[in-house]
Amino acid sequence: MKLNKRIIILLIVMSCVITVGCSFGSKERELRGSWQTYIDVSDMVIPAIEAWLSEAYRGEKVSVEDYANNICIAATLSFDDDGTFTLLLDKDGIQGARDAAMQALTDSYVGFMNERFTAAGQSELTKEEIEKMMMESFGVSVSEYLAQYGPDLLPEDGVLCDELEMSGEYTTDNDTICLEYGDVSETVYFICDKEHLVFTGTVSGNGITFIELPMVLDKEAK
Amino acid sequence: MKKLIRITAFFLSLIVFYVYSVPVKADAFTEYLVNAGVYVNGEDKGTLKCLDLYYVNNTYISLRDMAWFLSDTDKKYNVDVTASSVTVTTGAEYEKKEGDGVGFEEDEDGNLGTLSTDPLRNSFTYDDSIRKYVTIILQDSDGNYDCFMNMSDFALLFDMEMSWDDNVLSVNTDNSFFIDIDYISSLGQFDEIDSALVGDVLTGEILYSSDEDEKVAIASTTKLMTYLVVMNEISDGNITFDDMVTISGEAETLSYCQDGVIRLTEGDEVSVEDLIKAMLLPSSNECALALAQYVGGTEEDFVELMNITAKEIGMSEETVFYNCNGLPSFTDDVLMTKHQNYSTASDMFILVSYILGVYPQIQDITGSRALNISGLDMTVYNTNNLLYNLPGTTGLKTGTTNRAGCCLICSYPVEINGETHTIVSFEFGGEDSQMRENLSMVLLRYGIQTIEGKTSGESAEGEAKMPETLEGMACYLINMRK
Repeated sequence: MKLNKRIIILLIVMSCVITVGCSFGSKERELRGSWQTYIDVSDMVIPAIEAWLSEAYRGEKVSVEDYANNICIAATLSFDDDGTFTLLLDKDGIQGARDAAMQALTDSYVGFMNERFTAAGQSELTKEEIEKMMMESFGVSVSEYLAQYGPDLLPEDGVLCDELEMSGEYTTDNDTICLEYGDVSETVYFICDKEHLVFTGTVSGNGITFIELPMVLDKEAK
Repeated sequence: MKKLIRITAFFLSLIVFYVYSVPVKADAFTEYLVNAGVYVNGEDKGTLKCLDLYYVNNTYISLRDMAWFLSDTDKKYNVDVTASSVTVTTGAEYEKKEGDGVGFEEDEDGNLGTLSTDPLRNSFTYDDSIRKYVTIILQDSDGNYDCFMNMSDFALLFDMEMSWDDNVLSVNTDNSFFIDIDYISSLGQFDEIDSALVGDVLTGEILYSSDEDEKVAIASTTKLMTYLVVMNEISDGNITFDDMVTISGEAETLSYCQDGVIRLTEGDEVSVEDLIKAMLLPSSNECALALAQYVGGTEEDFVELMNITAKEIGMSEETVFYNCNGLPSFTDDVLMTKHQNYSTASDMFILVSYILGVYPQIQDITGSRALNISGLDMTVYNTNNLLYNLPGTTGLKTGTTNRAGCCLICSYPVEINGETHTIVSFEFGGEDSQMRENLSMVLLRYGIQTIEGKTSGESAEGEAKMPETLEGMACYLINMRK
């Protein structure tokens, strides 16, 4: 009887230990894998357009932010078993961002032209009307003209990847995750389930650029 | 005593009657009579009557003589002169009159003598267009009138290659009048003024300049900056052309002083648009003040906007404004300090380039010889005589104060290959209006000659070259829509 009591107590304690041990490991297990996110590169595009517009009279009057917002590149954030993470840009996503940046430039160009038309006492024109004038005069569309004489909006793919992609180490502690990349580290609160990873707030750090809080990442479909 | 007074008064009145009714030979020499030889296309044509006005070599030449000398060339013209008017018709036959081409008669001592007449802006019509030249009209012994025109004005108007050496005029009708700017500059053509510049607004190129960074008083050319500040407010949506401006007491007072141009009444309302026109065309100081007070609240605050705008568009530290209209201004002290608005020709080129790029419609106003201003119930007239003497001129502004002298900024668009090259000339510190017009004409003609020479061989109707800059494209599209 005494032996049976001891065995039962041991089994209960072992169960508790196993249960606690399992619960301690489950959040990090759910974190492992690949997550889809978007990196906003509008802050690269806006200064380029503004600098180009500023070379013309009243170019500073154009509110580029109205046209160039939410220019994003799709990226994948992966957490591996060995405690490392990687952030990789989606190559198709880069082209999408370039297209969005060119659209922003086109809209800014039309906005600028209308600013000047109005100043000169003339009526505003649509993009199509401006394009028609340019086509009749020079045989080029607005986008062709801007591609040739407009500013460089985003760096080449290689440079873009060098600037935005990264890999480093991560550690978790309860509801925080610490990402370390070179001299940079960021500790953020996170919530994670099978479908979503959410970075909710900053604990500390000197800023990893791709993290803009709050940030929701979707589990990559396999 | 009374009898003595009556006798004295009688003799005094006789003297007055004699002086004013009987022609008296002037003691002062006003026009020196000169006979000059003339060769046209290498052929000796005769003797040209000339007048040196006030000074030797300030030469005015006989239009009748020149009409006779050119009568067998493709530069022939007819000239009809009355006591106060001149009518020139190019391409028309000229009927020679007695005395044409033989010079002035010498007296028994071989002297030609002098005359005393006043040069005036007599009515002058050139192929049905009015011109504003200073000319001298004389009546000869047969009762016919002849007109004497400044040789520079003649050369620029008739546009023939001409040279003058030791009282001999050589004319080549096959070539245009070519301005060798470096040569005339070396002769000191621009030494008598404070600064000069001529440039192409489209390219930003300065084609010629003299003392272009010299700080100079700019007088009423200030009003171009006033115009820019007001137009910026309109473009930013802060005011509109139709806004009605209530005339202040200060504006009324200014309008009644010696610098007043248009009489205004305190409390009256005038539209922003009408004030702009009145400010630019007859150079109304009081209308400029009314605009400044409306936009800035006070003139002082408006002047601050002017100085800020100057820096924003890239004018240098040499440019400073103390008021909105270019008049001398004084500080509010016992030992008052006099201020003038200052700038440089280079800075004014920056200002004008900005205005013509962003607000090219200014030329609709400044290119008008006269405008009816309904709000002021009057017609105002442009002070810029180059609108008459160089048709195609589109502005821009005169300026005159004792300190600044006679200043003039002009614009002249030249269309080449679908591009509008607006040539602008700047002249500051001229001695009188005739000098500023003459020098401005030389500068503009040189600018036009240079830009046409640079694009020689290119058709004026050729295909437009696509602008590579955003500013160039904006100017192109704006011009295309005109």
